[in-house]
Parts: sequence; C-alpha cells; structure tokens
Amino acid sequence: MTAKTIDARGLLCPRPVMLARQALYESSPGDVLEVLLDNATACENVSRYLQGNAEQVTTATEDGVFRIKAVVAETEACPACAPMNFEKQPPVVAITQAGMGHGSEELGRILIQACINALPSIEPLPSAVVFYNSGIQLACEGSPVLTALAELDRKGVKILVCGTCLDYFSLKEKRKVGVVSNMFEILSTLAAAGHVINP
Amino acid sequence: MNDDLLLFNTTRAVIKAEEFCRGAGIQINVVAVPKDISPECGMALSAPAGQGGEIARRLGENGINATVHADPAAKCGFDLLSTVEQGGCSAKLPADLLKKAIAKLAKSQNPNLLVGIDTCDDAGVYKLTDEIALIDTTDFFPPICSDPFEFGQIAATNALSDVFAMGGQVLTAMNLVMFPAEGIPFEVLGEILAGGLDKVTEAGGVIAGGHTIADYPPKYGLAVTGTVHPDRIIANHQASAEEMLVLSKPVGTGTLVAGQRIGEAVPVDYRAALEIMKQLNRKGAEIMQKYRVRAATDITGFGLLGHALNIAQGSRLQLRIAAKKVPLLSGARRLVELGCIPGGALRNLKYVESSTAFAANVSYDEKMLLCDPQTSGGLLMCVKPDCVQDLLKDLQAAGYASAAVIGETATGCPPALFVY
Repeated sequence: MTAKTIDARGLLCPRPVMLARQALYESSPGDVLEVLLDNATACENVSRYLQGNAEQVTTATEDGVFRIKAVVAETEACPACAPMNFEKQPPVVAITQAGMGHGSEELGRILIQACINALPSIEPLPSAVVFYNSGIQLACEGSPVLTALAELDRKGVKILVCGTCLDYFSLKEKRKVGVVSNMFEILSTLAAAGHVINP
Repeated sequence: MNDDLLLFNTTRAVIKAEEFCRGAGIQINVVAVPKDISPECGMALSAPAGQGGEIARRLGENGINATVHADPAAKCGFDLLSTVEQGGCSAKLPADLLKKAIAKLAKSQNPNLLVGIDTCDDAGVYKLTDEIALIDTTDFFPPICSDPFEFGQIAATNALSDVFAMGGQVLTAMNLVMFPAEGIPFEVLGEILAGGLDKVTEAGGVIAGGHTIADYPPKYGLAVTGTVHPDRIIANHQASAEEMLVLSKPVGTGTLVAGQRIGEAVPVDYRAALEIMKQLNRKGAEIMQKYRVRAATDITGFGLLGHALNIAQGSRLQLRIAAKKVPLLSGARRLVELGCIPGGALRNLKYVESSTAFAANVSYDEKMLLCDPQTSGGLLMCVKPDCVQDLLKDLQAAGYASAAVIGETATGCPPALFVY
C-alpha cells in the first residue's frame, strides 16, 4: 500500500479531476490518494468524482487548502479507458532532406515548410529535431523555417545539426539555429526516442 | 495564432504563391490549414494579421487567386473565454437548491396560467384567448466561446429554444446584457448583439429592445415571447406511457467546452460542438407539431438525465433511456474518459441519482455523458410509436443528422428514470 499526493492547486477545472483520474489508474487497490486544491468548486468536483470511483473519501480544509483523501477501491481498472502515453518518451524528428517525401521536388519544398511550422504545436512536443544530409539546409541562412525552429529551441526542443554534413555542403558559417552535433549524439538521440518521425 | 491565412484552390497555386512571395521579399510562412478551418489536408500561407488582404491583391495581379481568412479571435483582438472559468449552462445553480428556493413561493391561482413554475417546464404559458397563448422565457449566461459574434448566436439560440420546446413560434425578443464599462473593447458588445440578432431573425422573431447592466464577466441572453395555440402546447407533464423518446441533437457540449478551455479538445470536434449549439430548434418544433407530439423538453444545463427527470416527474411516468443509443458529439467520450468532466455533470448526477436506477453495465463515464450540461442542446420528444420513423426521417432531412430514438416511456414510476 502506498500513498500518493497530487497538488492540483492553481489549476483550471476540470484539470484537477483529470489528474485524480490519472492517479487512480496508476494506483493499486488499497493505495491512499491525497489531492490538494485551492478552491471550493474544484474540491467539490474532485470529491464527487472520487466518491463515484474510490472509497472512504474525506475532505478537510486548513489555511485555505482543501485536502481530499480517498482509498483506491478494489475494482477492475479498464485498460482501454486508462489515459495513455504517460510514461512514453516523446518523439524525435529526423530531417534528412530539404523537402518532404519523394516524387515532386517543388511539392516537397512546401510540405516540409508546413511540417516544420506545425511542429511547435504538436502534442507531445518532440524532444529533439535532428538535421542531416541535405536536410541541414533548413537550419541554415535562407531557410524559410528559421522562425519555427527558433520557437522549438525556445520551447526546449534540442536542435541537432550534423557537423559532417555542414562541412560537406560548405555551410559551416551559415548555420542559424541549433547546435553542431556528431554521429554519437545523433544516434543516441534517435535511440532514446519514443519513436522517430521521418517526414 | 492571430495571423491572416491565405487559402488557395490548388496545391500548385500555393507553390506559385510561395515562390512569388519569396521573390518579392514578402514575409509569409507555409502552414498546414488548421483543422478548425478545414478538416482536409491542405497548405496555406500565413501572414502577419492585417496584411493578408494586401498580399492577396498582389498575388491576384500576378494571376494567383487567394482568399484571406482572418483568425476570428483577431477580429476584435479579444478572446471572450478569457473572462470566465465556467461558461454556458455549466454556470447554472444546482437544480436541487433552486427547487428549495422556489418551493415556498405562493403558487398562482390564475386559470389563464397554463404552465407555471410547478412542473419545472421550459417556459411559462399564459392563455390570452381561446386561440392564442403567450410563451414567456428567458436565459442568459457568461461566454462559452472566444468569438463574440458566435457567443451571441449561441446564447440567443439557447434562449429561443425554450419557446420551441413548448411547440411555439417566436414573436419578439429583448436583449439582456451584462457588460463591463471598461476592460473589454466596446466593439465586442456590438458583435455579441449582432450574433443575437442573426439568430432571432432566423427564428422568425424581432428584437424589440433590451436592458444593460455594467457587470464583469459579461453575460448575454434574451427574454423571449412566443405564441402557441392553447390546445397545442407541448409540455413536460403531458407524456403518456409507451411513447418513444427521440433526441434531436447529440450531447457532449459541456465536456467539449471544458476541454477547449484547458487545451484538451480536438479543434475539429470543438468546432462541431459550436455548430450544434448554433442550430435552432425551430424546425424540430415544427416537426413535433406536425406529428402531434404532446410532451418534450430541450436539453440544457441539467443534462439529458436532469431534463428527462423533469418529464418523468411532471408526467408521473418512468423514462427508460438506452445509454448506448444516445448520440454523442465526436470527441466527447474521449474527453470524459480522460476525466475532462465539467463540474455541472457531477452536480447533475447528484441531482438525478436518488430518482434513477442504473443498470450494472452502465459505466461511470456513460453516466457522466448523460449528465453532461448542455448549452443550446436538442429536443427530447415523447413520440407515439406509429409515427416515430417518419418523425425521425423529417428531423434528419431538416438538418438534425444525429437525431435518434434513445428509449421509451413506461408506467411504474418510481424509479422515475431507468438507464440501461
């Protein structure tokens, strides 16, 4: 039997209920779940939710903090309903050419722009974007997607640019985003990815 | 994203436009067309807000046709959703508290008041002559979407709905407005009122005036007057046993609006929910009259089960609802399974629980969906079995694509509701 505390203070409803639900699915029967909240409405919602899905639900208030305790019930946790992807690693994007896909070069050129411009808003955010072979041109001066790459960088996405490739295309001085990287780092980044997206 | 979007008819046009803009030094980005504009795959160019028109003109001069799509939130640069934590009918007072509050009010003995507050109906009905009864109703609430025009449309559609739920026609409407004197650009109010007018006109009514109070967050709605023949009133208390229950719109607007607020709703699902909330129940009312429906209600803040309970208790019958037949908005089930449950759904379940028997195979998530507070929801109709198929066909032809039979009425109350 373990105890788990969820701090849901400052979160907009129904996020606290979602966190409580996630915790229920990650717990075993008999575990004690504690939820901290900072407003009466959220407290009421979480407590009602737990009353329908756990046991021995109690609520206490102290110094403006609402503390709900519940014991995880002996029920069938439905795997299909459980929230997914929580412990999965985020993806890594490998850009290996200046366009997206094969067949038409001009089509590939605008597809890759739309793709990279959409990357900052996808969920889950990739942990890294790796550029090699002619893909590195997109990370260099004159690339139409430097703004999106800079945004990814700001959001904490690693931008790795293959050093060998920069040298081959004589673009060492023209790189505008990310860090120059090598085979070992690129391979270990790809190896640690939840999956690799190869546009 | 507040950028202007340039949309094209073909991918080749996008390629040409992109080449032209790069060559001319025009700042653009190639983007995938957002799902809330078009669910199909497509490319577009984005440009800084306000510059789309000029770029489209220059492209036109070079033989490339583009249409400009401005982000609706950028129209007045104000996101109404930022003013509220709860929106739409989720902001309602709990039904049980409300019942307590009005329990002590003296009941009217006026014989012309054909439908009053005692049967928890959608609107009051007052008989003027043997031919005409007035329907009076009002509804208003805080913002439930970002765009002011759309909020006006939804709030008006929701308020007008009560007239249709009584089987009536809309005559006049008065604007009810609460809006802060400062802090929100005043054009936003104009947009809200324009949205309301749009729907009152579509409903066949006129706006006769209104009333404004300075208040924050803003709230908008209507007081509506409609008419109905006194013998053709459709009311909560007139259901009979062995009628079929028909629901005209899918449920799930509450969880989708809540999901949108915390970034969990899929844009195309949320867009579909907005469109459903903007759909008037006018044609539904006309179809009910065509098939002589006697009992119905519209589904709003108390959820499908809360409003079904009003019919069951008003008519002293049991309503039996097949949970798996209830039409759902796309994405609603997924959100509820994630725990994205609006507080109103939890309150509604508490309200109906003591009067409801749930079969063992009805899951907690299904209960939550049936209790999901709706804004501008559909009509729940009690229909004679011999005409239910024709009525359903008419509803679908009138644009209620998800309309479905979801259960039946039976004798043997209590329990007032049986969900299986």
